Amino acid sequence: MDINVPQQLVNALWLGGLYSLFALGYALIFSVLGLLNLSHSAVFACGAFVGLYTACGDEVFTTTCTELDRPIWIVIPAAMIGAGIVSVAVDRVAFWPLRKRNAPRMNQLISSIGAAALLVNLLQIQFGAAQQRFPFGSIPNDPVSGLPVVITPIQITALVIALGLMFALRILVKRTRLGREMRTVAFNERVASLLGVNVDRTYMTAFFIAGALAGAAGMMYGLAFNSMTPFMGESVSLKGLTVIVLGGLGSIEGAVIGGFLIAAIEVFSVALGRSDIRDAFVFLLLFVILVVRPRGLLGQGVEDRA
Amino acid sequence: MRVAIVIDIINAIFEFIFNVLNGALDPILTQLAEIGFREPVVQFMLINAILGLSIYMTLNCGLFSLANAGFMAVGAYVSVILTQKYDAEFGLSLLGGALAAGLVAIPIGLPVLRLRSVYLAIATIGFGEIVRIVVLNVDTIATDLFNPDEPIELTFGARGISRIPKLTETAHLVFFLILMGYLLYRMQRSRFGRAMTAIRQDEKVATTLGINVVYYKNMAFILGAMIAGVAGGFSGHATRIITPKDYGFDKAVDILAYAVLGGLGHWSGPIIGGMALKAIPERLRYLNEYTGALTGAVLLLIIIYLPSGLVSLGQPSFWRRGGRFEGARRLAGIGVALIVLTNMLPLRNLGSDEVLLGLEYWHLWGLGAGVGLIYWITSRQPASTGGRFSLPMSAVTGLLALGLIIAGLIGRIDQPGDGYYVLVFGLLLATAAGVIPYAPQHTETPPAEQVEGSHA
Amino acid sequence: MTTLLQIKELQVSYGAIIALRGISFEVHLGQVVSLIGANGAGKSTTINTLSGLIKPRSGQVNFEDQDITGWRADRVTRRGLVQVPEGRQVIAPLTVRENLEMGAYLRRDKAEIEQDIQAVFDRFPRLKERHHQKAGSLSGGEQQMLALGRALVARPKLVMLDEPSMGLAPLLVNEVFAIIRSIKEEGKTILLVEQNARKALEIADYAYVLERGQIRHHGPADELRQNEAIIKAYLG
Ligand SMILES: Nc1ncnc2c1ncn2[C@@H]1O[C@H](COP(=O)(O)OP(=O)(O)OP(=O)(O)O)[C@@H](O)[C@H]1O
Ligand SMILES: [Mg+2]
Repeated sequence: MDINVPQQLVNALWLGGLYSLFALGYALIFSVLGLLNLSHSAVFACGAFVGLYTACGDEVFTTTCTELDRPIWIVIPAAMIGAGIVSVAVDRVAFWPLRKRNAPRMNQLISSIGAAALLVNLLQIQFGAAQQRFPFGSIPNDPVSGLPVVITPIQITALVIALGLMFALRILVKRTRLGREMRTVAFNERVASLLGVNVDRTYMTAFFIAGALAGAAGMMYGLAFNSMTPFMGESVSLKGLTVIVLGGLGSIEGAVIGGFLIAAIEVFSVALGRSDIRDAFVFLLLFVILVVRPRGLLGQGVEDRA
Repeated sequence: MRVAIVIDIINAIFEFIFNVLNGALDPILTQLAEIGFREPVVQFMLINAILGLSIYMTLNCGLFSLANAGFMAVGAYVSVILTQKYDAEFGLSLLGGALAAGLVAIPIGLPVLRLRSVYLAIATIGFGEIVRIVVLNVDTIATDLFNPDEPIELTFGARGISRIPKLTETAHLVFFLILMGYLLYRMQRSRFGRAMTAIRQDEKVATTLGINVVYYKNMAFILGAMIAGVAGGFSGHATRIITPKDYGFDKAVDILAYAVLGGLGHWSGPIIGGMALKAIPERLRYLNEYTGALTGAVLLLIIIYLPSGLVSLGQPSFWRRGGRFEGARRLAGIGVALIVLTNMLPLRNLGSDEVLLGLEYWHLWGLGAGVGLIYWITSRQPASTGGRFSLPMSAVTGLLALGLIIAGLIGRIDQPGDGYYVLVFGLLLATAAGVIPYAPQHTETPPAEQVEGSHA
Repeated sequence: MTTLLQIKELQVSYGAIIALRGISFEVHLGQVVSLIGANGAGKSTTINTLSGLIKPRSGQVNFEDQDITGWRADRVTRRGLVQVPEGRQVIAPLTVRENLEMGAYLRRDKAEIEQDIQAVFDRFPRLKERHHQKAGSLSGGEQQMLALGRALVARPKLVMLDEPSMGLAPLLVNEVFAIIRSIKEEGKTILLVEQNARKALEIADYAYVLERGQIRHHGPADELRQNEAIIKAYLG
C-alpha cells in the first residue's frame, strides 16, 4: 500500500499536539486529586464555544456565525480563560463538597459525569445541537506553500501553542513553588495545610490550569476542523483517557508522549485503509498496556488510587 | 421422551408463575401508566435494576469494573441471534446470552482483576470498547477471513439487528429480579458473601484469613457478567432494534451510576438506583431540551447530598448523624434545588397557567421559600455547625434562603428566556446553600491510603 | 512570663464520640510544655484542634492574645503555630531538599531560607548526604529528622511535636530527644506530645497529664516526676 509517510507524520504531529494538550489536563487533575475527571471533555467543548461566542457575538445563540465581531486570534485566550472558569466551577459544585467529606473517589467519578451531562446539555440549550462553525475564509487554512507536505497555518499554530503550553506546564510543575505545592497537596492534604498551603486555593489553581489547557485544545480542535458541537468532547474523552494510561497516570511527560503516539496510530491506521478498526487498535493497546505494564510507559510506582 | 416431558413440566410451571405474576402486576401497571410510566418504561426500569445488580456483584467484592456494558452487549447479541436466526426459545436464548457473557468474562477476568481501582476501571472501559468495535466489525472481518459465497451477516454492523421479536414481558423481569434478590440475600449470609465482604474491606487481610482472593474475585466478575448478559438479552427483546452504540462507554458509566446513586451499602441500592435513573428522565421528559441538563443536576445533587445513595434514606443513622437535623437539612437541600429548578425551567415552554405536579407556580415558590426557611432555622443548630460558627453561618444561609424566595418571585415573570438565567442563578444558590454548612465541619480522618503513602 | 498559647475549656467530639471534655492549659514563651497520656487519651486530638485540622465544639484557643479558634489550618501555620504530625508525615514523592523548601512555603526571603536549610543540614548531616533522595525512601529515623527540620525551616513561634519518638529504636529515641533539647536551648517554645512520659518529663518545664479527654494532673515537670500516682501509671 502506498502511504505518504512524511505527510502522515505531519498529520500525526499536530493532531497529537491537541490530544496531548487535552490529556495534560486530565493528567494534572489525576495527579493532584487522584481523580478521573470525566467532565474534562465537556470543559473542552465549553472552551470552544466560549471562543466562538467571543469572536462572533450573540449571533451564535440563534443561528450560525456569519461574520466575526472580533479578530480570530482572540478565541484562544478567551477559550482558555472561559474553560478555566468553567473548570473551577465544576470543582466547586461537583468535587469540593465531596472532598470535604472524604467521599469515596467513585462518588467523585459519578459526580464528574453528572457535571459533564449538565455542561453538555447547557451548551446544547444555549447554542443548539447543530454544528457551529466560523465563517468560511476567516480561518487561515490554505496549505502553506513551498513545503513538501500539506499543512495549514492553523495546524502549525495549534502545534506551536500546544508545545508551548506543554513546556510551560512542565516548568510550572517541576520547578516552581506552585508545582511543589500541588505535589504536596496531591500527596496529603492534611500535611499540606499544616505547612501553610491553602488547599482549596491549590485545587482551584489546578482546576483552572487543567480547564485552560482543555479549552485551548477544544478551541484549536474546533478551528482545525472548523466544526463545533456540544458533543465534540465525546470523540476525545476516551482518547484522552487512553493517552494518560499509556503514558502513565498522572505523568506529564507520559501524557505528551501518549498523545503523539495515539495520534500516530490513528493517522496511520486510517492511511492504511483500516479506519473501521483503528479504535480497536487503540483500545487493544490500552488493554495490553494495563495488563502488562499498568504504570504506563513513563509512570512510576502504581499507587492505589481510584 | 423423558426429556420432553420434563421440559413440558418446567414450561407449565413457568407459565403458571407468570400467569399469577401477570394477574398481580396488571393493576400496578395500570396505576403506573396513569402517572406517566407506561409499560415499556417500567420494563426498562426493571432491566436497569438487573444491571444494577450485575455491577453490585463486582463492587461488593471491591472490584471497580466498568465491563458490564460490554457483557450486556454480548448477552444481547447472542440471545437475539439465537431467537432470530435459530428460533430458540426465549428462556434458552437468555441462558445462551448469559453463558456467552460468562465465557467471555473468564479470559478477561484472569489478567485484568489483578489491577486495582482506577486501573481496573480503565482496563474494563477498554474491554467494553473492544466489544463494541468487534460487534461493529465482526461481519466484515468474518467475511474477509472465510471468503464465503455470500457475505456473512451476523450483527449487521452499525445498522444493528432490527425486527427483533418483542418477547420480554414485565412478569419475566419481575420474576428474575425476585429470584436474583433472593439469591443475593442468601449469598450475603453465606461463606461466599462473607469472603467477598472481607476482600472488599481489605484484600491483604482476606488473604491471611485463608480466603482464595483470586477465585472469589473471578467468581464475582463472572457472575456479574452473566447477570449483565441476561439483562442484555431482556433489553434486546424489549426493543425492536439493537446497535453497538447502545452498549458503549456511556452505558458502562450509566450502570456505575445506578450503583452509586442507589447506594452500595445494601444490595437493594443498585436496584433502586437503576430504576430511579430511568424514572427521573422519564418524569422530566416534558421539559424537552432541559431533560438532560436536569438529569445531570439531579445526579449531582444526590451524590452531594446523599453520599451513601438513595438507600441511606431508609437508614435511621442517616437522620441522626451529625446533629438532629442533618438528614432533614440534606433533604431540604435537594428539595430546594429541585423546586427552584422545576419552577424555573418550564417557563420557556409552558405558559404561566400550566401546572407542575398538580401545583401552580406560586405554590411552588412558596414551598421553596418555606423549605429554605426550615433549612435556615435547622442549620443554626450549634452542634452541626461547630458552635461559634452558628451566627455568621445562619446569616449566610438566611441570605441564601432569601435569594431563593427572590428567585421564586422572578420565576413568575414568564418572559421566554428568563427561565434559563434564573435556572443558573437558582442552581448556584441552592448548591451553595446546601454546601456551605459542610464547610465548618472538621476534616478529620486522613484517608488510609495517605497514611500508607508515608511509608512508601 | 508572657503567655504564648492559652487554651480554655476546649471540647471536641467526633460525631457521637467525645474526645476532649473541656481542657484548659497554657504555654509560656520559651517553655517546653509536655502533654502526656495513654493511647487514645486525646493528645493528637488536642494538637490537631490547635492546628485547625479539627473544629472544636466549644472552647477557645488564644495565641499571642489573639483568638484563633476555628481558623483554617494554613492560617494557623501562617500565624506561627507549626505542627510536626504524628507518624513522620514527610512528603514521600518530594526530595529531601524539596521537603525542606515546602517547610519554608510561607516565607519569601530566599536568601535566609537557604541559610536555614543549610542550618538544618548542619544539624542533620545525614539529611545533607541524601538531599537529592526522595523523602519516601528515607529510614524511619531519617524521616523524623526531616519532619523536625521541615518545621524548623518555617521559623515557628511555637512548635508542636506529636510523638516524635514513636516507632523509633531506643538509640534513635535518645537522638531525637537530644535534638529537641537543642531546639529548646535555642529558646524555641515547644509543645511536646509524648507517650514516653519519662523522656518527656526530663526535657519539659511543665507538663499536663491527659486521661480520657480530661486533664488529670499538671505541674512543673520535676514535681510530676516525684508524684506517686504518675510514677505508678506512667513511669513504672
Ligand atoms: N477521626 C476520628 N473519628 C472518630 N474517633 C476518633 C478519630 N480520631 C480519634 N478518635 C478518637 O478520639 C480519641 C482520642 O484520640 P487521639 O488520636 O487524640 O488519641 P492520642 O492520645 O493521640 O492517642 P495515641 O497515643 O494512640 O496517638 C480516641 O478514643 C479515638 O478513638
Ligand atoms: Mg496520637
